[in-house]
Formats: sequence, C-alpha cells, structure tokens
Amino acid sequence: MHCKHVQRKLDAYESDELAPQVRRLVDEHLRSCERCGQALRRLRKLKGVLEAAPGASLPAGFAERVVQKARRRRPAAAVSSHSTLNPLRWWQDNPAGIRVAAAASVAIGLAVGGLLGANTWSKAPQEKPSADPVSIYNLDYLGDAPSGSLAESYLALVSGRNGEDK
Amino acid sequence: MTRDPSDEELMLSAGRGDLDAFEQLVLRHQHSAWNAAYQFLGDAAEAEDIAQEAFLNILKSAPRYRPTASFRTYLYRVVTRLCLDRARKKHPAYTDEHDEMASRATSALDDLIKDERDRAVRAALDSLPPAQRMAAVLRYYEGLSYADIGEAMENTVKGVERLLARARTGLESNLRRFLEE
Repeated sequence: MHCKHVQRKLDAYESDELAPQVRRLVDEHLRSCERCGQALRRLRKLKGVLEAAPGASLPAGFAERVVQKARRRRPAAAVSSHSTLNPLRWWQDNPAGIRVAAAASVAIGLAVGGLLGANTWSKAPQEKPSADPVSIYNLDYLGDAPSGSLAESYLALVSGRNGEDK
Repeated sequence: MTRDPSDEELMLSAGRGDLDAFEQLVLRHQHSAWNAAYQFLGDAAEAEDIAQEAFLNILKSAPRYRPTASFRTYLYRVVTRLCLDRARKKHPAYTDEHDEMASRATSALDDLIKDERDRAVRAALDSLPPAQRMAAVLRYYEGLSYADIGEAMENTVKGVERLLARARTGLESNLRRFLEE
C-alpha cells in the first residue's frame, strides 16, 4: 500500500472503521514506515487540538423558541394541506371503514355512469330530414341548365351531389 | 413500563400533526443541530437561525418522511444543506485574510496560549472551503462515522475521505505551531 493511501486511511484506522483486510494492510505498512507513523502521531495531536477548543453552549430556551414558531406556523400549514387534496395521502390517513365506503361509492358511481352511457350509445342515431336546397332556394329554374355548364355545377354543389354522377 | 418512542416514531407522529412529538425530537437533538451549525459558522446567533430553520424544515417535510436513514443523520443532512447554502450566499470565509488571522492569532500574547489556540482553531476552520469545513465539523466535533458523513453530505465514503484528507492538510498547516509543542 502506498503512503498516500495509508495516510488517507489513518483517521478511519484510529476509529476502527476500516474493513478487516484494509486494517491489516495499514497495520503492516505502519510497522515498516516511519513517515506514516509520524503522520499517525500528527493526526492524534491535531484531533487533540481540535477537540480541546471549547464549543459555545446551546442558548437557553432554544427548544421552546423552535416549538413556538412551529405552533404559529402550524394552522396555516394545516389549512394549506387540506386545501389541496392528495388522494394517496388521504388514503393513508383515513381508517379502513372510510376507505371501504369511499371505494364502494366510487364503484357505484362508475357502474351507474357506465349504464347510463351504454343506454345512450345503444340508441340508433336519428336520421335528419333531408331538405332539398333546390326547392328551398327556388333554384328550379336552373334545372334545365346544359350539361357541363356553370349552373349545373352550382346546383350539384348546393344539393350535395358535388363530384357525383347525375 | 412503556418504552420511549424512537426518533422515527416521533417523526411519523409529527408528520400527522403531533407537535408534542416534534417537541420531543427538538429536545433530543437540539445540541447536535446547534453545535454543528455553530462549529461551522463560528457565530452563536447564526447557528441558532440555522438550527431553528433545520427543525422547522423537518417539521414541514415530516408528512413525506420515510425512515430510510437514522433521524440524526437526516437532521445533519438538513443542517449541512442550510450551512453550505449560507456559506454560498455569504462572501467566502476561506480567504487569505483568514490565514493572516490564524498567524496573527498564533503570534498573540504568550500568557494567553489557550485563548490564542482556541482562536487559531476557529480561524483555521474558517480558512477551509465550506465542504471541507463541514466534513471536519461532523467528524471531529460531532463524531460521525465516514459512512454517516457521506449520508449527511450526500457524498460517497471515498469522497468524504478525500474531503477530510484535504481538510486535515489545511488545518495542520494553520495549526502547525500547536502541533509541534
């Protein structure tokens, strides 16, 4: 194992966090490498210096202040969480009885809706009375138009026979 | 005799709106959250802001909480995110100015060696880039394992190893005087 790799592992070696085979390699290396031995002693000193530095103490009443803020924010959060319906969340939050009732209501709704829909679609489409545009618009006088004339084409267009043979 | 609910059970209750459960969580973990923020920022008022925000964020996301990691690691993750975010928004603390502060601190009055050393440690921590500083705080002040630091910092164990190796190099160079004594 290279010194650079060993020195990177020394911290975890000290706290016994290395896998057994890696620890064995580091042990072997430390037995023969003075430089890494020194690095281990330096690491121990560094940890000693860091840990000796005093931390400040937690300000009094910290927890009370956090909970107070939480209580002030809670009503708004509760309103907003109720205003947007999350079906999954609703399902998880409600007891089994309510879930069964809701599932039954949805099933009945779907069944009734399906029956009504099927009834509607099964009715035969009613035929619309066809109106003859020639008589509606008094275009009878164009009936004698010669074949291939503009008047004949117009008559075919308004009577819905465009493109059909006479 | 009833056993105390676990952190994860309290968190699930908090997610259903039980603020007493949330209060218990705060009481259990307030030192960890506040101390990690304080050691990172070096300022008690800012640490209080961050630690409060961390707990309130946790309460807000409690309904979606799934106990995949320990609550403590989850809390450190939230604190870490807030601290790193704060460090990004502020001017970077790790400038040469702090190296200067460290050397000024280390050359102060001899009869105040302890005080001088404490200030030097603070300056040495401040001289580190935020991610290295956070890794060092979680490791040497909060006692987290490499795996837990990885969870808290959303990094791999190898990544944490590299961060901590660089952090130690920076700290050693700023605290050389105290390491040679």
